[in-house]
Amino acid sequence: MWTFGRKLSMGFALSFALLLLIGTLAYRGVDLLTQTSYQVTRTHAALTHVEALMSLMKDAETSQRGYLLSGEDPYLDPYRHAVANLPRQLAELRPLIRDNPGQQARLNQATAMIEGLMQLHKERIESRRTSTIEAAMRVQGLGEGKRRMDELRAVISQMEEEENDLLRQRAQEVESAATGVRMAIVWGTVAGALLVLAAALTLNRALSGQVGTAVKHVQRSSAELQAAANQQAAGARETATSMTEISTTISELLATSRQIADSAQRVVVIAEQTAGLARGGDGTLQAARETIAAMRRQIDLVVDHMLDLGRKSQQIGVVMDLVGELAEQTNILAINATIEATVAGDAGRRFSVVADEIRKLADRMTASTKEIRLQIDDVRGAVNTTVMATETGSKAVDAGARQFDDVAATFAKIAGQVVTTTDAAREIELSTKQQATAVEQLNVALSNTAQASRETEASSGQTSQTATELAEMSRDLLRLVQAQPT
Amino acid sequence: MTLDRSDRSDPLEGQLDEWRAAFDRSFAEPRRLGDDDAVLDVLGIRIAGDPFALNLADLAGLQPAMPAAPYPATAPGLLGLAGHQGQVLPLYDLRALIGRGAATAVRWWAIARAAPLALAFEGFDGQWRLTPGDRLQQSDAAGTGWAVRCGGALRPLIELEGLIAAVAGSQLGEPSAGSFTTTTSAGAAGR
Repeated sequence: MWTFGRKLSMGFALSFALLLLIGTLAYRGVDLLTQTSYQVTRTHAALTHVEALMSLMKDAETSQRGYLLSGEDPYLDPYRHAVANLPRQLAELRPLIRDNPGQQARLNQATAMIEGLMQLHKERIESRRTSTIEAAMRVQGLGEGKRRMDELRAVISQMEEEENDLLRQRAQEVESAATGVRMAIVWGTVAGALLVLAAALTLNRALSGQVGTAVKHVQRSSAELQAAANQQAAGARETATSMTEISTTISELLATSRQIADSAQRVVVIAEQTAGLARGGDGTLQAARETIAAMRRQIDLVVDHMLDLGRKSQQIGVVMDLVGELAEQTNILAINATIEATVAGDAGRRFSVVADEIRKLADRMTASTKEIRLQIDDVRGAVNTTVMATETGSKAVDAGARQFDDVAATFAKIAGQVVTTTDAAREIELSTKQQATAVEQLNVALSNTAQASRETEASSGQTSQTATELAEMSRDLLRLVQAQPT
Repeated sequence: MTLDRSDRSDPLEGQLDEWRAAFDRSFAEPRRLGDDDAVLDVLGIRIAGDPFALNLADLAGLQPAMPAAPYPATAPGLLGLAGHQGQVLPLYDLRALIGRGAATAVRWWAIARAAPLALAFEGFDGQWRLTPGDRLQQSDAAGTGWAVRCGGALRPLIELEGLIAAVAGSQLGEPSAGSFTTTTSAGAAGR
């Protein structure tokens, strides 16, 4: 879909290209005509110079003939004029035919003839000046001069004919160029007229079609814009009312936030007091734990002593084994002594009595050893029982210590929780203060929003008015474009 | 424990005093040499768990058992060779000699006075010096005719002379020792 501006640009671009083409063609034709005119002018100048050469040669011949006949010097003036001007004429003619080799060859030939004729004239004049006319006429045959002059005329005539041919040829070129220029002007004008006509038709159609449609759209949009502006104005009124209500609610919320901040501050004070109490309880628990540890050490000491006592009882048992062994050996020796005393008969009777006493002592020693062994066994049993009871007590103390540790850990957790509670309460206090500040800012922002809503209501009325004016302008524009009311 | 010690220390101290008094009295009392003829010294032993008694006058010595040197012979009850005060003696099992089977663990050796031989038995309970009233005739005791009262209990008294005679008889090809008797002679009791 080509836009209106694009069509307009395309029309102007085609017109510009056509004008450029016509101008170029016309410029080239005029340039060709100008060059041909310069060449025609130069050909005319060459013809003038050729005719002037011929005239000067005729004047020189006539002058030398008059002098030959009269012998009077004034007849030589035309001759002298020819002698003075011939070189200039030749010099001026030579550049004019520089582009034509045939003419240059003829000019060289004519130049040689002219020099020969002028030399002949000079000789005759000198001869007449120094002698009489008869003598001079005798010496110089008059027929030679005429013959040379005729040859010169023939050459000059050829040159003139050549230049005339050039004039005719250039006249044809001028005619051809003029015809081209005329054709370019005529056909360019026709093409330009057609192009302008087509552009006018296209733009007219585009104006009455696309622009008309767009204007209708603008009309409809203006109506919608007007309706939207009315709705916006109503919404802005409602928003302003709501903002006022919200502002009132927020003021109440602000009062509540300040109450929460005061409560949080009281919670902080109470939590700090609780933390202090928890630290005091922790110190008491620490002292109790140290007491339990001291009790544990004492129990370990008792266990060590009891174990040492058990070991020493065992050593006493070993010693008692030695004593028992000695008692048994003593008993055996006493029996053998009794046997020996019996063998000795009457002599051994006293010894037999002593041996019997020794045996009795050994028996008592054995009995005492058994008694001591029973006592030691009782002591070892009591030691074992005490050790076991002490270990049970030690385990109970350990369990109590662990429970105290648990209690201490719980107290530490409670203290930590209290610290956390204090921090949280402080954060609540701080957050509530920040919240109060934010609510105040929000209140201000809501007031600004209400003000903005009122301004929006006013600007919506302005927008509605502008939409009405826009609808009217679009109707005028549509009338301008389509020239008929919609 | 303190109460327990005090409870036990009093009887012990009493016994200690009694022992000291008995010891001192043994020096103070006159010697009853004239009564010693009726004294009977016996050795309480234990064979196969049962208590027996040996007359100390039949013995030449008592010592703890030691490993016996093996001896290649098939005599009944012969355990090997035993050394006693530089003498090499044949060692017989007393339990086998009294017909109660072979001993399992021998701990004591008794050296016989009547013959150069040693007797091995399992347990040794002690020695008692008895009066003639403590020697009783006992018909139902297994293999013995006499018993002695030692510490309130009766012990069959083994008659070593018969056993030694039976051993000597078996070595000479006579009937076995199963027919020995434990008769006690008055002369033996009087030695």
